[in-house]
Amino acid sequence: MLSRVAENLFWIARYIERAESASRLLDVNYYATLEGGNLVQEQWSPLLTITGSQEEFRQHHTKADSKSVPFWLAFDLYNPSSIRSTLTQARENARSLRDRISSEMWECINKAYHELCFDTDAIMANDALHEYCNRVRDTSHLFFGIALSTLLRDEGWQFLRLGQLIERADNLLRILQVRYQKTGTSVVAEALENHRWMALLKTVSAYEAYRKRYHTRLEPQNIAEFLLLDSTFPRSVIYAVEGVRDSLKKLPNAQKIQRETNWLLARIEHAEVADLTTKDALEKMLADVNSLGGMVQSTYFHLNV
Amino acid sequence: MFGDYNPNGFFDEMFDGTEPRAQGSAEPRAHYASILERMNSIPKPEFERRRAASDLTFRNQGITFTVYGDAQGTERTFPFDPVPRIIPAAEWAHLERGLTQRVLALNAFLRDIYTNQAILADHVIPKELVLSCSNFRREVFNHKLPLGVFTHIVGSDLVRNERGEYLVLEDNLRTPSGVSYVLANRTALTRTLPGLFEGMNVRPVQHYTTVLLEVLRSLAIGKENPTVVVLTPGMYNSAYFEHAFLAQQMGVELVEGRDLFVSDGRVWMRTTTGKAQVDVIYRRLDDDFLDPVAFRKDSALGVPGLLEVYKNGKVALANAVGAGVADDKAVYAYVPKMIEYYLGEKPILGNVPTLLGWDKADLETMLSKPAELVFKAVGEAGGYGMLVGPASTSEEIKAYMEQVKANPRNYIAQPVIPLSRHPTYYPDSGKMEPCHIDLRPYILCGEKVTIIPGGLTRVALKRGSLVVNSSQGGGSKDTWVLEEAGSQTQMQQSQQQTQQRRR
Repeated sequence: MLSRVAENLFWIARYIERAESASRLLDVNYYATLEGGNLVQEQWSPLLTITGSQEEFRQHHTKADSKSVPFWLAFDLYNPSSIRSTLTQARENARSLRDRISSEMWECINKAYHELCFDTDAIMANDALHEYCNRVRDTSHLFFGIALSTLLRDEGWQFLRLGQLIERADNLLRILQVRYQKTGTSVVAEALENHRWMALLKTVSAYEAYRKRYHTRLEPQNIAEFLLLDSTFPRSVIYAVEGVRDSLKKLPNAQKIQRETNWLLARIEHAEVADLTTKDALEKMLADVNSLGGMVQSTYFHLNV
Repeated sequence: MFGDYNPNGFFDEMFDGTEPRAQGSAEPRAHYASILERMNSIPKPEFERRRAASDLTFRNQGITFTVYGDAQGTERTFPFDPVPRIIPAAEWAHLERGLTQRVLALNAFLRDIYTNQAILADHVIPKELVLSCSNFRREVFNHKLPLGVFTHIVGSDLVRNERGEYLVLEDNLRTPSGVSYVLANRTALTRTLPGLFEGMNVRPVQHYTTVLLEVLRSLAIGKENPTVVVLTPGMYNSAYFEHAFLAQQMGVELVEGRDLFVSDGRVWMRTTTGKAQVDVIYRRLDDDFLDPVAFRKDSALGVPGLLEVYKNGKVALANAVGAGVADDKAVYAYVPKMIEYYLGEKPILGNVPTLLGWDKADLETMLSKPAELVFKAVGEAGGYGMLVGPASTSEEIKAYMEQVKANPRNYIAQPVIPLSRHPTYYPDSGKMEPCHIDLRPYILCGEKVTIIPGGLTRVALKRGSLVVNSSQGGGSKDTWVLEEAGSQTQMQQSQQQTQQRRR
């Protein structure tokens, strides 16, 4: 397979997964802030940390509030990770892959591009953000669903999977980093705490699944265990890393990167949950996941021939 | 929708006679009679609904081209008109013979020009005219080509004049585009107006990509299972959709220059497992950009060292390097002479009379009555660099004439041909209006010559305009070639026999 094609497949998956993550992050948090009043006003700035765009945001906006942050995350073309930017980039990548992806996949992303990346000015004003976010999520589900049932299970499929899973683990770990910052005692009311953990679960599409798994209150330890270590939950970190391991088995020349993946997996599997949610541990995990991404790039996309 | 349709003095493809037509008085030509009746039976709102749905399909499928020089750099869909253009069997047989003759002569010319140059020695074509052509490539002199073919994919532009006579307007021998629209338009029309096809015996076109792949594979002489690729300048090229489409339909890799490299005297592509050898390149890149070592140094689109490998016969290119010398618009004027010289035959299809800036007397005529002529730059395509005298202001003409005077070799002029017209639906008026059209058939030359029935009918959508190019606001139609009545009955009979046997 052409290196350029492999790289584009990897990135198209990352962009679409990123758009989906951003849409859920925005949707859940925007509506979560409506209840709870002043107590939750500080919700906005962490969203910028999660998406890693604090600094860039400050260059274009003065205040992080319920208008500027949603605009930044959804529509701002100055933000390379905004939904509009990522969908546009995904579509550009798909356009250069038109001969490789199925025409249904192409049509899905091309249609979404025309429908979701133009005339976005009135969406906030018309209270249509929720609908917009849903459509972004649907696009991602449709895209990967079509891939699941139309794409040849050749190398290309493995690169698409790798992109999707690495991006998914990366996004989840960034969210956990922010939410597990201030563990321990908290003076805020219990109801509010509950509200927050609920928002966290919903942000990663885990609320219903978590409820089925644990019949207790929303316990931070349980939530962390679920999101990091439950390999039956398709958005957990361990699910993603296991998926990376499985895809690598189908790829040539993967010995080195397989070793790194197995090592990361072993460290996650054999750790205590409490030890995984410390600041350092989350940071290390995030770095390790991203280094897997880097190794995919150097092993397959930019080799010297 | 056809209410007050008026051929108004032009040759109309659908209606007989050129007189203004009172309601229902002019007769449709026989081969259009039944589709006219069927179109008239569709209520207008329903027709409009279907047309709009097909527009949206083109957009969602991303069947677009890019317009250069547009600030937006936007992709546009190529407007598709749902009224098909119909060519009767006998008419097509004539075109097929004429086009086959023409490509055989053009290839004979190219072989000659890059070896003995007998036609120049015999003074049939002026030597200076050919050798001064910017697309004449000394680099490939005496290079032996597989099958001796220079132009594997040809798209010649045909027009019909006021008498309905077909003339060749130009030959595109380098990287003619548009064939993907032929296939897309057919698919679109079968979905939009399936009823029109019933019982019409329209000849299919979708085998184009199969034949194309066969031709490309046949260029790797002696190679059991050659690797064929399509080389594109990239997704910002105006015809990118087509490059991707053809690669997908043939099931071969679509590559960019940066995906290829030369080492050990071969061409390779960069893959996830290292390098893989390439045997045949269908390049959609002009010679100039193909190899920065041999041609334009600033080309970032090409493959350094490619020409050397090509000259050693270790990779095949379609079309061959240097083919452009024969579609130079000044050399074009001599194609009828080539046909007589190489084949000893009378040309079946005529040329449009052409004045050459290169010729002193012609240049004088060109400069004396520019408002009556169409001017073209010899090396350009796609409607770029042209001037339609009657449709231009005196300032535009004056500025253009300065360019002609500065470099006469670079320009030709032709009389304005009153191109034939065809009823075309206008959503803004909700009516059928006459539009000028042309026809670009696609000719494949390998071991034999194959012409896909029909081709691309382009429509000048700007009211009154004679320019059909997509970059200049043109649209297109599905083009039908009808099966010969006799052969059809035979086919039906044999089908009936098969069915009987099955019972």
